[in-house]
Amino acid sequence: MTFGKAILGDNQFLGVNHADQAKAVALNQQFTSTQAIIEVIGWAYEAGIRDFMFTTHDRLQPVLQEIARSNLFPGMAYTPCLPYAHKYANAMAEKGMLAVIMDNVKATSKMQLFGGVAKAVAGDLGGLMQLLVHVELLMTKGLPVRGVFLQNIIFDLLLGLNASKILEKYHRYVSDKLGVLPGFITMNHPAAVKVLCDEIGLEQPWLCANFNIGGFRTNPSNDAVRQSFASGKTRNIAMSVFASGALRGADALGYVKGAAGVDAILFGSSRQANIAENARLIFAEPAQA
Amino acid sequence: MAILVVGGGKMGLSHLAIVSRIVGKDAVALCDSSWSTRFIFNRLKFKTFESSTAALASGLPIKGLVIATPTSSHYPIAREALARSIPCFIEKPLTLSLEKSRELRDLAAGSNTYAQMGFVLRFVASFARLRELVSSVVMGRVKSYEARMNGNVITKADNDGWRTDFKRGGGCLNEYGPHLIDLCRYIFGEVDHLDSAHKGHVYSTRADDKIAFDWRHASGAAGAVSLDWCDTSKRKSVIEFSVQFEHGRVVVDNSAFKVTLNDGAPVSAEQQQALQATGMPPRVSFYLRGEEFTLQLEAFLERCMGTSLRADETFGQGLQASIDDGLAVDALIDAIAKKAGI
Repeated sequence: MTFGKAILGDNQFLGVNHADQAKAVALNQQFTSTQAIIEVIGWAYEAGIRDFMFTTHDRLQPVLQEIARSNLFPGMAYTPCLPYAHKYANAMAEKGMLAVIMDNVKATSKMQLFGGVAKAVAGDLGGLMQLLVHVELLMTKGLPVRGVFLQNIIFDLLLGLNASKILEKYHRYVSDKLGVLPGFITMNHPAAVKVLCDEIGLEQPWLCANFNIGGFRTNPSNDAVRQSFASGKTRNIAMSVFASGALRGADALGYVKGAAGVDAILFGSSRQANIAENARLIFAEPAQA
Repeated sequence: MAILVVGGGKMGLSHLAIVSRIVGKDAVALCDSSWSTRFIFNRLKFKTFESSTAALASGLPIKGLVIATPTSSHYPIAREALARSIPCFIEKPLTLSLEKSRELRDLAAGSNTYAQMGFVLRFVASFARLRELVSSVVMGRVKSYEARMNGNVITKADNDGWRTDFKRGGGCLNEYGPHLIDLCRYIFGEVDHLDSAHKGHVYSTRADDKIAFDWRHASGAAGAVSLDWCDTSKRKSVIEFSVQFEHGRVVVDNSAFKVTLNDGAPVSAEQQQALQATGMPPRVSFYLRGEEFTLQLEAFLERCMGTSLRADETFGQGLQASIDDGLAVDALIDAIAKKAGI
């Protein structure tokens, strides 16, 4: 099992635009309706895209339910990225970390709650992480799941804290127990490769990171990220390939397709023409390097 | 040697992760009064202490403190460190009392100890660019501006927590105010006169949910500033400036920078091109929540360690806020609160 070459992302549905806040606000309003979101996923489906990668945001819950109920897109695979951090961040500032964890695990069954808490008390934080994965995955009920990714806000935090055991257990749990592809979104690709591959010893984990010709959010430098993608130690999904709209079309995609170590390209758009054109360019035979 | 991160809440955690990545996990310790927080971080193999007092007494050679506790405890923690000439990074706002803020400022000055405020937005590239434009006078003097900070923080009535209690450091003026007030001073210079201030309530009864004020800078520029943390149209907090220069208007937010020149503005073609260019955020040694969070800590840590720790040497030099800025912002918050009747 692996990802298709092109993956539809969900930033547009959640009002995320890294270059233009006004556009972000407009998108946020546009996609308050479930049908508007389903229509865009449909455009991607028609363009041949069979992967949808999304944040576990409340807004997407009715969308996924509707897709599952009506079996709208046969053959499409779903990859949740968790957690949707903003949902926890506010609560955490107010109530503290443990209260937030407890509030959220209430949604799961008593036995799982008991197991997770018992593990946490025993100092097994990986156990608590498994519980959070379980809670967040309730959203994808009835849908084929390709992978489960950790969002950069939580993965890069764990990377910063060098929480190797938690990362290792998360990887094993998703891969062995859930039987799907575990992955990590990061803004620090070289640091992630160092910790995941060199220190923990994971074999070719999936990473999803910024990769673009302009060097937008490629830390610590564009060269370091390019080399890190090409190292062969990880499998990679390139994102922000258009640098949030600052670069357009074939040039931006050509750079990414011609680079070593790019296994798939994640992009989002709210326009049918853009989705069709990007999919066509991504699926086309590799550009001459 | 160690950097102490004091407070294991949201900001403390973020600082701990960034500092650990920059100076190494072995050179960092966390202070938190909660047993469960210390327990968790012990499991993650961090050195932990119950308080900064305990850490300072432990004999560990401490190079700097990052203070990210609730505002009410900034004063005793910073005082203890500054009295020992240990550099401090203090989250905003400095304290909840003008008198105490002044005492800390005097202590830092008296012991010649470096103290930096966590006014993180100074490190956002678009705001740094606006500041340069204002001081360069390429577009002439600033006549007036509007500044807004809107977000969707308080979504229901909560009249128990500290967040919605002005006296305990809550409310929109205390939460958003320090950021935007500091940015206005940083970009347009000292504030000379506060003309008016009006508060508004949506959910909170013990603090403001929105506040607007008008003031004038020493440069003559007039500013209309508003804060609102109950704006449901925002996914995360957004700051917007709309600045009227003599030769045109500039609209800036956390990422965009848009210039409209007046017809016949005396601006060369080369200058125009520079004004219209799209900027890229600077690269950082380790990215967590935005470049600015790392950049401010790179600036602090290099003062503690005496060595450059920046991934991008071309950006961020000298942008950081000092404890004098912290005191000045506290004084303005105090004046605005009084004028608005909070």
